Amino acid sequence: MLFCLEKSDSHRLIDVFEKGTRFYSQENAFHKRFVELFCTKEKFIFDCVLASTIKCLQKYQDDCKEVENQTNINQCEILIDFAWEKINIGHWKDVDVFWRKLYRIISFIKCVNLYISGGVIDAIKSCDMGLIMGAPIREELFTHEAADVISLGLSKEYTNIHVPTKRYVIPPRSLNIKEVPSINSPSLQYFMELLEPGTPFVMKNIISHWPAIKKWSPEFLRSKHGCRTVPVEIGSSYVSEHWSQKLMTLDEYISDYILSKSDSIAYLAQYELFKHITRLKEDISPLDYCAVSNSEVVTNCWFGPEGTVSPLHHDHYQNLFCQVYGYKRFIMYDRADDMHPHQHHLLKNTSQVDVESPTVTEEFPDMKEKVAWVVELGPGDVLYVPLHWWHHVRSLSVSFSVSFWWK
Amino acid sequence: AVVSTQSTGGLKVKNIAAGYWHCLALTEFDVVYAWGWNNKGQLGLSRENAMENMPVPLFEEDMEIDYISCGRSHSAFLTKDKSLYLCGWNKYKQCSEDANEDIYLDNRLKVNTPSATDVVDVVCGPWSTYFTTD
Repeated sequence: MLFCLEKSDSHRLIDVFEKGTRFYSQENAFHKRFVELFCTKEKFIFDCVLASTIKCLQKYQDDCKEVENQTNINQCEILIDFAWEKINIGHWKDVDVFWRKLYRIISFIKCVNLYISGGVIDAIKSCDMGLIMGAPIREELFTHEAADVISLGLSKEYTNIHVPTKRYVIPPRSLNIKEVPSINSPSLQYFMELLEPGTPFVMKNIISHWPAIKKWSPEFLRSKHGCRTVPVEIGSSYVSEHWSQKLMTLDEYISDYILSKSDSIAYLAQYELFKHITRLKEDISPLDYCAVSNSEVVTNCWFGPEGTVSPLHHDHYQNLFCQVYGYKRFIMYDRADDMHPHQHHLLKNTSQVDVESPTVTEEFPDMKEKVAWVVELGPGDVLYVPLHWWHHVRSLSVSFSVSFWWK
Repeated sequence: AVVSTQSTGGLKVKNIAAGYWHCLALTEFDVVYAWGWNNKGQLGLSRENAMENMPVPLFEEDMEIDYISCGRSHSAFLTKDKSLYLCGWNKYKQCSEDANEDIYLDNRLKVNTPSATDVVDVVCGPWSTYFTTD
């Protein structure tokens, strides 16, 4: 694997390594908590590794060549295994955030040591594990930045060959279908008026300025961000027994599940990708429309092959769903409609009705009258899904979408 | 999983041991049952078994287990004829000095005890194994 960083980026990376390592070795609140948790032995290892890393980093800069430091890496592994244990015992809600902070810090330190000994691929993998499982100390972004710069060095050239080809699946004819209206580039004032009836609508020409619309393609993501590790859902539906999650690089995901036909469906769904791979934030911009409320906005990515299906369910947020690449079809029902949700407490927001089944109105006769709001989204379309509205989503081609959740 | 004598083939349990994500039960007639996570081979099963929701019996009929102990992700079995078997997480050499990978059913090893002395006791720490010989 070819690794090539421009001088300015190389300096920036070493700067992040230095600043981060020093920050963590001086972060008093964290050290105090370490002591409070009675981990004397582990804290000793932690202090030693940090001090040694600072020394090795200095040596790397002075000698201008790789520094061998397997001992540091081994010590990091011990602390990572130790933090990982604490994170994976008991209910995730009860896990002290300290362990997730420790996990991220040590993943970063391990990255530093791996990088200066020539292990670039393992270095960025370590960062990504720290980003996925760990937590930051306040607002610091050392691990994010380190990973973003390393990924610049692993960037490859590419050509866009894949064209999203639509495979349309017609909803059952027995459903009472209504088309969702679309509006061209509404003003903020008009948007607030459109919100009032509480029904869905599509806005056109409001994200055409996003660099993502022109830039993003499976080839682009694989070449520029392929080395990044992400959590992927395997299985046709999250209500199925065989549904699971797996960590893999974007390169593996795109090669095996997006650009080639696979036996199983894999979906990078409902993932705050832009909090993880911060470089991708540059290609999108927050929607002004979300600012109508003062609430926090959750930004998720939805990137998958043709044929991903999210069964009929509702969310506890207002949703502005932006289609960036490829095509998706939504079937939606009013929040007031009884959609026969599952009884299980974890699936109370999911309906038992399969709206695509040809026998749907035989199994659930009340589906004949209920209004099904149906719309097909293409690149550049933004769909407003009102709070608690039921929606079923199917990708009609390889698809990349960004959703903004707000209240 | 809540385990009753029904899950251990009607046999009464005389000893139990627990790791962080797995359990062992030693029953009368010296049969061991295991359940929980097998991500490191700690259940003494092969790589294909990711986990067992209900107890499964281990070992061949002629193996009589005298004592069991569990570490965080590894297991120790001491037989009546003083042989020690270890399986599971081996990153810190909890199970085998020589092997460089975790120990599953496929590569399960008998511990090489020094000379011909026999193992009389075994206990596991979270990331370690201690045993004494005659």
